[in-house]
This record gives sequence, structure tokens and C-alpha cells, in this order.
Amino acid sequence: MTARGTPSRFLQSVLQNGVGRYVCQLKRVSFIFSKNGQSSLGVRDFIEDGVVDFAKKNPGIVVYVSTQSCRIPKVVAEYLNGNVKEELVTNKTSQQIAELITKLSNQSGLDIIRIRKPFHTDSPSIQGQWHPFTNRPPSKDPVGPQAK
Amino acid sequence: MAACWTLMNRSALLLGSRNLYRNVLFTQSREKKRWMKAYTLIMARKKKIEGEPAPTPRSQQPNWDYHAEVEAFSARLKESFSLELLKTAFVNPCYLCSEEERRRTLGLDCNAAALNLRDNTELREHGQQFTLGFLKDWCKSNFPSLPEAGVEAIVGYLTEPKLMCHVARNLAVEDLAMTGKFPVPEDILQGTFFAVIGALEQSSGAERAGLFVRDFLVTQLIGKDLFDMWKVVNPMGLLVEELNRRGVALPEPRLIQSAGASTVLPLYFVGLYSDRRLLAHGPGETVLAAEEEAARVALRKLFGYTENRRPLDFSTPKEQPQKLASRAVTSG
Repeated sequence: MTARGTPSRFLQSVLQNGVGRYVCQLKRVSFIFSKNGQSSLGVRDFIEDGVVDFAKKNPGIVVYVSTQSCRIPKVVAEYLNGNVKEELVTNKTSQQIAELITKLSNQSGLDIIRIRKPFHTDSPSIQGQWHPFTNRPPSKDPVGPQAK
Repeated sequence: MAACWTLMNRSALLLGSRNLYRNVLFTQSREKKRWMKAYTLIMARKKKIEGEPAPTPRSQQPNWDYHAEVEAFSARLKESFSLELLKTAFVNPCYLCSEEERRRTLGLDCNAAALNLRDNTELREHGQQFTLGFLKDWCKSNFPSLPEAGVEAIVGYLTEPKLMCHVARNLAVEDLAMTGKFPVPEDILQGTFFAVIGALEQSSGAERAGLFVRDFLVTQLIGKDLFDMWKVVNPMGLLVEELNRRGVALPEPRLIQSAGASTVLPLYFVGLYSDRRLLAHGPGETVLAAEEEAARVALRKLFGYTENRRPLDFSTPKEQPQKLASRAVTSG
């Protein structure tokens, strides 16, 4: 749809992350897959090879691995700001799932919608924003053409 | 709407009556599912009568391991907490009450199933004292000319329940806090956060705890104006007091600019002059409003809390003695 019909937000960070210290915003990752289904083959391979390394490299993320008999394997990512993101990993390879997990761990958890401006600042002006009276000498007469 | 799958058997189309289920082609058709209508309508009516389902705490949803979560909490914040202290910090007295109630109603003997948990009252008081003290010292060192009332206002703003709960929720303290009620009430969540700070101070020392408070509470000051946090009713009176204290002449207001005096939105700029030198000027819709605004601008300049002041320092402190020692080793 158009920009007006779809939601949008401003560029922001959760709790000024990065100003003080950087906190990884992903808090929990759950792998839900089936033990025998053919679509969960990639997930099963990833759990054999890569998940332990991922968990060791990111000690701040809790990794849950649970099997259920399901047709579509999922990765559920929960973020510190409360957002929960589910990604379907049907028929993905182990490599693709590893990339997906890295991408999820680098995200902030804010909604992936149109960002209105690619910049944000809390101190927009150093010398003071210009207004029509900025460099005008003081006068008690009302506004009129300045004498040269 | 969810998509529904229709099975199209290509070979059946080709061969007519013979049913060959090879070369099956699934196509997705996005119509509404007719057979779901009754169920969907009944569920919608039920939701309208009963309202939204009550929120459940994360610990009662699937995939939850408390010990792993506490360890991850400590690792995520890059702090080394003593896990025992941290687990104690999350236990609130209301949780202990409700647990004992539950055990009593279930008929368990008090001695047989004793609750071996300590609650976080001491840690909470400790943490609160530490936080208030640290924030006060921080304000005084960064804004030396800010008076006591201003420092108290800033510290009060940073330790108010609303802001602390916002910080605690975005640090996953609410998931780990053990309370009697869910959703966790604001004052209890604030108490849990103070207890976490107390636990950090007892585990890693005052310096690390100070850095923690700086990185998570003080950063909430970014983008905030002084008089949003400090409600000053009479800025002109306060300005006169401040100038008297510094021994500077009293401010005289003068109209500097005016525009649109007879319109719906007039604009007046009033300047405050002390000893014939401009202190500050401010705009307003009436001359009195402009004078008040000019007094506020003058106060911001005096207290050093302008928008264009030097940004606050959030860098990690380098270890000074180790640096000097390494230099001595390399040179000697």
C-alpha cells in the first residue's frame, strides 16, 4: 500500500542503547522444529553444528530448542522491548539459518516498518536555530524594513 | 486472511477419469475459508463478551528456564553479578506471601515445605540509597552551578516510578521479577530494579554500580529540558535570588522586538539586562509571558543547562594506574 496507509515510525533506539553501553537487544531465541519432518532438515543440521557456537558467542541470549511434530519449523525471537518475531525456516539450509540468526541478533526489536527520516538528533542546533529576529538589532518600533 | 491450499492434479486434467497423484501441483488461493466461518464468528462473539485474555507472566509460558535467564541477564548487561544475590534481588515480599498462601491452601505443612527464599527488602533499600546518592553526586559534579532544588528535581525525575519502570521493562527485569500479582505494579517493579542495583553494588563494587546507573538512568536525561523536570512557578524570583547570590546587579526587563501586536498571534521579545549588559532574551505571546521566558533562558544559562552545552560524558573510564605501569615497563 502507500506510505500513508502503512504504519511508519521515526528512527529511534531502545533506552538510548549504545550511548552508555551496548546491550544486545535479543533476549531469547526458540527453535521449534520436528524430529522427522523433511522441512526441518536445515534446522536439525544447524542444531547439530552451529547452535552451540552461537549460544557460546552470545552469552546474553537464551537459546531454547524444542521439538514438536509440526510441518513448518519456526524460529521465535523475543526482544528486550517486548516484541516477538517469528520467522519460518521451512526448507532452509543450515547456513541460511545461521545468517538469519545473526541478523536477528543484530536487530533492535523495533518494528520493521517505514522509517520516516534516516536521521535523528537530540541537539538539532548548536548556535541556536535561526528565526527572523536572530541578527536584528533591538528596536522598540514594530517590525518594519531595517535602516541600512 | 490466511491462505488456503487447493489441490490441482495436473495429470487428472490431462487424463480425465484416471486418478494419478503424481505431478501434484499445490496452488495457493487466498480466499476466505468458507468452512471456518461458523467457528470464527463464535470465537469473535466469545472475545467480545469476555474481553481480551488476561496477560500471563513469561515464566508461565512455554520455554522458560529461570537459571539460564538469570545468567543471560547478567551476561547481557556485561556485569558480573553474584547469582545468589541477583536471584535474591528478584524475590519480592509479596511473592513470598502469595507462595505461603498457596501452600497453605494446598494443605502443605509449613515445616515440610519451608520456603527457603530471602526477600529483597535489604537489597532494595541499599540500592535506593546508593542510587540517590550517586545521582546527586553526578548532578553536582556535572552541573556545579545548579542549586539544591534543581538537583533534587533532576534526581526525583530520574528515580520516579514511571521512568524506572520503563527502564526496567526494557531490560527484562519484569520477566525475572517474582511477584504476587501480574502485571507487576509500578512501585514493586521499581523496588525490584533498586534491589538489582543493590545486588550489583554488593557483587562488583560501587564503581561498577555507578557506571550501571549512569548508563541506564542518566541516559534518560538526553533530550530533556531542565524546566520539564523542575517545575519552577516564579522564574523571575529565582533569577533575582541567583543574581543576588553572585553579587550581580538585578535584571531589568526591556522590550527588544515586537511583531503583530494587534493580531491573534502577537510576538514579543523581552531582554533582561543586568548592569546594562544582556543576560538573556526570550519570546512570548504577551509581554509578561515573554519576560517569564527570558527569565527561564537566563536561568538555563546560569545553571549551565542550555541545549548547546557540552554533551554528557558516557565513555568507559580507562584504567589509569595500569596505563602508567605499562609505560614505566616499556621505558625502563
